[in-house]
Amino acid sequence: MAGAFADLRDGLGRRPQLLVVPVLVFELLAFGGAIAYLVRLSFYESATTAAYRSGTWTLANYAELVSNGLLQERLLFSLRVGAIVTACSLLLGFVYAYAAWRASGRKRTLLLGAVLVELLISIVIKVYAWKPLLAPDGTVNDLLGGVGPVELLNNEVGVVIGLVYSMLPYVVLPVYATLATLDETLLEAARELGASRARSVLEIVVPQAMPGLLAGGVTAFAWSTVAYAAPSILGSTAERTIANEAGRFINGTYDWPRAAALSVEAILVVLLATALAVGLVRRFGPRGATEGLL
Amino acid sequence: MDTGSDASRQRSRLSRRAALGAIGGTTVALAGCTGGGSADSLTVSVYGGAYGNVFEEEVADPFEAETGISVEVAKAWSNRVTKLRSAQSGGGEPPFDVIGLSGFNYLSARTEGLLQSVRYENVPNAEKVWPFFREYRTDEYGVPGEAGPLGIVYKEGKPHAESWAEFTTTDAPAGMNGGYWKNPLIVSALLTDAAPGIEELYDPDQYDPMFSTLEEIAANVASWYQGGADVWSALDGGTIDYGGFYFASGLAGIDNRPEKEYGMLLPEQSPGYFTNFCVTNTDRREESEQFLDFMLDTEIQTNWHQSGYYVPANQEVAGSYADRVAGDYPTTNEELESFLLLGNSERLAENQSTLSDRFTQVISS
Repeated sequence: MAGAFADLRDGLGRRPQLLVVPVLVFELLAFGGAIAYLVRLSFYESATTAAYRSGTWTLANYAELVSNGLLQERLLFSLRVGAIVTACSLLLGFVYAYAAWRASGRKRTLLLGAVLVELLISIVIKVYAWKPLLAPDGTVNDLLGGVGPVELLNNEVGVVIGLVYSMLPYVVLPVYATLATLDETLLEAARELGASRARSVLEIVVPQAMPGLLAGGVTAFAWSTVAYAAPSILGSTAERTIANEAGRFINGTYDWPRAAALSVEAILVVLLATALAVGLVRRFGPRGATEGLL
Repeated sequence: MDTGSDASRQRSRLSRRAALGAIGGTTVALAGCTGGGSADSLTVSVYGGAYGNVFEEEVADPFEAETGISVEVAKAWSNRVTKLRSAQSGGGEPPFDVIGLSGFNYLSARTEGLLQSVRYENVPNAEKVWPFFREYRTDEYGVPGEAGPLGIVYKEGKPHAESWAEFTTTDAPAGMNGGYWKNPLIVSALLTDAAPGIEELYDPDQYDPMFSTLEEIAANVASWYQGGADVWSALDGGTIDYGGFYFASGLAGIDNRPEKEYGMLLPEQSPGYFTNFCVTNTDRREESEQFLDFMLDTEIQTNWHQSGYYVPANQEVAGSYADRVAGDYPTTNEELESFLLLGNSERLAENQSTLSDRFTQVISS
């Protein structure tokens, strides 16, 4: 027994990449299996009184993605809202992470603690909390006094606010993690050599933070493009993502094959957009920013 | 030395015992999560929100007190049939012993063989159920339990519709359920004169005029809400002044908000639903049928109605309606028949995707 363990240890020592095998097997079974089931489901024929017609094969559900104007509108809306939320989250998240990095002591603990606390709250509760704040008779309009009521709810503005708020921790934490490895004396040196504060941040901090920004941006985009709760709760019926449409097919018309085809489309679109973003950063961004990705 | 070795063996035995215990405990816990109840317990799946709470207090708890069979009430709005389907396809125990279903859920669950037929000799109280409920759709797989019409909730002192027709003419922001297409389309069909009653709903040739009416309604709708919580936040937040909402839930919600001045009215004819309570493919069929019979008992139905204002399936309750609904709810089978506009799922099944897509298109534009 001890000999076997020793052999295993020696083997792993020579080929450490074997350590990843258990994770790969798990991913293959848990994630790959689910995806395979989803893909198979998307090729079933729809049934009128059941979830799908067993044993059938059809491309009709994919053909419909191309021919159905409503589904195309939903896809475009999903991509647009994903892009806006990602841009806003990156901007606000970077500023927040930078502020936390520059702060010290209790102030830093408070800033990072606030982000962590937000992660502990269910996304539905977080999004719902915005409803009374953004309503026509709500807190924000009360604060605006005579300006309003400004329409912040049941439209794209509400959806973006809810999503940016939900995505912020996923940008702040990786950006802060990369900034934490940055040598602050580089920033001081740049300032002493005559760079303005803004220029020193742009030329020293942003390139260093690029891996964190990329990780946070990919997460924010992937999640907000297929968001379900925020569009349902804070948007009107015009602000619906492809995830909302898939939900309608599952719960409203009991049409699982259509929902599955839409989900496969969502996965492919998000993967392509992510690959494009990583490719652009690799091509035009600082060296090493995409290390470990794709 | 020996002592040390014994201690080591003992630790090893303890550790194995602890591990086996942990695995056993986990297995039992998982069985509790994934399956129905044990021999002396039942799991009953009903709608969520206030409905589930009232059901638990007025039906499940008294059953438990009378029979000693514990009842776990699983409250949820969606994915309930999906859970049954997943359990069955995986060869496992159904997660619920009894499930309350209506419309397409009831249709798909029985079509897919997820339910057992009700042995009516074990449910003698079913004799007291309104004939309309027993005959409208098959009750072979579920006894009717209660029904609910859609009413109009409004802010006192603000302009509001007093009938479905006034949704197109009242100059005030309205709300309507947008999570599911059936009720708004029943209202649209009711207001369209292309066919008698709501027959437009079943005839694709009449869809155009029906959807034109929906567009007229949609022009006045400021919020297509998803569920009960949305209705109250839309009213409280000033997004709408009135809206279509389930009458029973509306009355219960108003009772819970004494500080707000909200009212609720019931048009003469309204979209609605009724629920069939079904026994799943559980091995606790007898206890489940006992539960169904208990649920239809006149006293239980009366208490359930008094607390939740649902239309009771038991016609003997008709003489003792709650004060708040007396005069509004039907007292004869004929009145019940014309009172609820249900939307026949069997007839709608063929075109439900078309109806849902067109509905979504209209309310999104």
